[in-house]
Parts: sequence; structure tokens; C-alpha cells
Amino acid sequence: MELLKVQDLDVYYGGIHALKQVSFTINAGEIVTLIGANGAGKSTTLRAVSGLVPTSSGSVEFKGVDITNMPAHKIAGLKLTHVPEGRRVFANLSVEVNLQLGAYLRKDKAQVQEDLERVYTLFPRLAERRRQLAGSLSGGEQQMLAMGRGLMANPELMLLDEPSMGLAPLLVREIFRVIEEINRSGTTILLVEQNAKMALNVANRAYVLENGAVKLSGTAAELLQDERVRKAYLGG
Amino acid sequence: MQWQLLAAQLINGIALGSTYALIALGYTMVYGIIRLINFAHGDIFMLGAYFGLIAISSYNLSLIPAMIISMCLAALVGITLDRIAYRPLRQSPRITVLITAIGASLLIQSLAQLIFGADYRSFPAKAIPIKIIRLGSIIITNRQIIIFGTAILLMILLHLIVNYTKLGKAMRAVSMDKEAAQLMGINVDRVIAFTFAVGSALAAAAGILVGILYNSVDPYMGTLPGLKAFVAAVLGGIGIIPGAVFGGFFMGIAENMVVAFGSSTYRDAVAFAVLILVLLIKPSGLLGKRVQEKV
Repeated sequence: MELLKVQDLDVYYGGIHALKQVSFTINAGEIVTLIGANGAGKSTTLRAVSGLVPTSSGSVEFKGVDITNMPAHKIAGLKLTHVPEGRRVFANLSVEVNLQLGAYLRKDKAQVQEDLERVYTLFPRLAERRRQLAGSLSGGEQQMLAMGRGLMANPELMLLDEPSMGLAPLLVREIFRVIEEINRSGTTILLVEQNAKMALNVANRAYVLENGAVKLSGTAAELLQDERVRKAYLGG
Repeated sequence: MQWQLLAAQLINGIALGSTYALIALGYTMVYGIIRLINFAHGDIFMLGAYFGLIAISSYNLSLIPAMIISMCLAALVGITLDRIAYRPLRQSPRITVLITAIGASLLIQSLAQLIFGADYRSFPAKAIPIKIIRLGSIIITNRQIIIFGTAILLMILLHLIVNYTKLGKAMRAVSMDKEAAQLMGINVDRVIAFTFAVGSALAAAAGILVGILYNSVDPYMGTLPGLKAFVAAVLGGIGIIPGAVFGGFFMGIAENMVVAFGSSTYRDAVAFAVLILVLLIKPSGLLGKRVQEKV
């Protein structure tokens, strides 16, 4: 079943043609990754899907509903959650309040409480620091908080932008382990990563973006073997 | 006798300062959320005083219902102001919005003069009969106690709203990162409107309290207290809620100390002396953290 369908998306960003006729689909249950160089349009694609940047043409459909240019706060209410680049946690609020804000639109209080426990089980470090200000956490802990906050919305589709950026190798593996675990428990994932190798190892399928356009696509296994991908993104 | 004068002026200062604090809270909350110095805020304070005056003198309401009605009406004015004057300029440079705020201030003053007349008006004496309370040789009036008590009560209420309600938490989230707040499903425009409503309601309460303190209401009464409360907010660190409370009390007390030890001629000058000193010595305010410019 197609969960997300992006068709011929064009985005202009301050005079720059940032996305050119980008099309891709994500099926329910998959992990799909977008790989590409800096400035290829990966983040812009996520931002266009979650409503943070306006699109000039093309369409975005989520669960069969047209969400093109819908306000970001409404898209969030459809259980499409965007965990943005650079964590963007609320620095002067406690870890727990950050997580509560992730569930801002939910009315099912008992279920929210259960999900909070689930997030604390997934990230025991957050449980230890639940009363601390988010700004006092380390980079890795902030990434866990950003993902935990995203999970609190109980999303069907989670957009993850550069979750491993700036983290030590041990933490990167930890983050990828959690991504697989989140996916196993039923959340579909669209992952943007500079670390193409790690991303292709967890993903089912991938799209390669170059200069704002989709250059290649295929299963992760195919792309891992692809000569062009190996040269450009996997270090030979 | 010197210390009694000091005590009397200290009490005056605390009463006046609590009204400055209420006004400063609105400045600081709006600044915290949309980085705008809302120069029309002092005029909403003035409208609040009129709403209260009319409710008490024309509709014979007592103080508490008059204050509640005035706060609700002012909240509506604040929301309307944001909706028609500021919201269309959300993506504009800050200077554009600032100039709009000055324009809105002048517009509200002129409209008030048109509707309510330019004359000074006063609360009927029976609204709050003056009672004098003696503590040894110190004299306190019941009005001072009402002013201080009401202000503290409203501040506690604000503290509870900001820290413990869902909208309050959303407000703090929006003030830290609007985009991330949207991704949580927070309707940023609605949270901004709520901030204007709360700030305006507090200003309206302060308007009635100042109207009672000086027993005088006129269309231009918002200008000077508005400026002083703005200085109070800057003094405490603009955008920081406890800073506004601290700054308000500081300004009220400082003003009355100048009266006690210097001359009442300089009571208004003290605000601007404080502003200049703060901007020279600690521009982020006394409770503010140094903001590191990100390169």
C-alpha cells in the first residue's frame, strides 16, 4: 500500500530551483532513504512533505489525502511526523515537557502515558534525565530526545533528517539500531542521511538525489552494488 | 521622620511597581514570542482603564466584575490588533512591524479620544472607599493593598498558565523554535493570538489599578507607564517573564525613591536613566543570559 506519494514536486527557495520534478513513493512498513551530496535537496524534500516550505507545483499525497501546501501543524496531526535536522529540541524545557509536546495533538491520555514509557524504554538515558533541561543534554542525547519526541505523536510515517550527524561512531550505530526498532514496531520511515552506507544497510529502498532531481532509485541492495553509487557516495 | 518617609515611599513604590510589572509582562511575552516591541501595549492599558471606568460608573458594577470584563475586552482588542496589524507582516523585516506598532499606538489613542473624549475622568469615590491602615507610624491605604494583592494574584495565575497548561507550554515552545513547534502540531498563529490576549488582559488590569491609584483616566495615560514598563522589561531582560516582574518593582520603587530623596521633578527621568545604564552595562538585562551570536 502506498503511504506517501510525491509527484513532480517543484520547490523554489529564494530564487533557487531547489527541487526539480521530484517523484517518489513510500509503501507502508518500509524504510526508504534519500541519499545525495550536501545541497542535493534531501532536507528540502522532507520540508516540502511536512509543509515547512511551500511547493510551486506537483503534489504530495499521504494515505490518499492530498496534503500539498497544507499548513505544517495540520500535517503533523495526520500522524506524519518530521524529526528535523539539527535536533531542534526545546532547549529551555525539560526532557519530559519536550516529550509531552510531541503528543500535543493527542487526546488519548492513557495511550500517551504508555508511549512515554515506551520512549523511556527505548532511550533509558532520557528516563534518567527526564527533569533536566533539553539544552543541557549531549548531542547524542538530544538526537534521542528529538526522535523520542517524534515518536510521542504515534506516527505512521516518520521523516528523519540526518539523525547521525555529528555523533560518535558508537552512537551512530545506536541510533540506527533504534531506527530499525521503530520500524519493526510499525512506523514507516523516510530517512535522509549523509552516511549513505549505514542508511542503505537499514533501508529497503533508496532514491539518489542530485542537484534537486532524482537521479537513481532502486532497492537498497541494488544501490549498494551500483558502480555509480559506490563511487560517489560509498567511498569507492 | 526620615525613615517613615522612606517607608511610605517604599510602599508607594511597591504599589506602583506592581502595575508596571503587570504591563511589562505583556511587553516581554509578546517580545518573547514574535520579537516585537508592541508599542501599542501602553494604549491597551489605557483602554483597560476606560473599560473598567465605564463598567463601574455607567453599569454600577463592583471592582472585580468590572476588572474581569475589562480584561476580556482588552484581550479581544489585543487579538484584533495582532490579527489586522501584525499578522500580515509576520514575514516582514522587524523594523516594518515596529513602525506599524507605533502607528497602531497613535491610532488607538486618537480613537479613544474620539470615543471617550479628551477630558480626564475619575472613578466614582464609592467604587473603592479609601480606608487608612496604620502599622505603628506607617500608613498604608486599602487601595495600595488592593493594587498589590491583585497584581500578585494575576502574576501567580500567569505563572500557572505558562508553566502548567498545554497552551502555556505551547507558548514557550513557540518562543524557542516556531518551526519545531509547528512540527508538534502547534498552531503558531493561535498561540501568538493567545499571547496577545493574556498580555492585553494583564495590561487592562493594570490600567484599572493605575486609574484607581491616581484616580485619573485619559486617552494619553498609557504613554508614560507604557514606556516605563518597557524599560522595566528591558531591565529584567526582555523576553524573560520573571525579569519583567523584577523590573516592574524596581522601576516603581526607584521612581518613588527619587521622589523621597531628590525631587519629584525627576520621577519620570529615572526610567530613562535606568534604560541608558542597562543598555550601556548589561544590554541583555539583569536576568538575561548573554546570547552568543551564531556564525
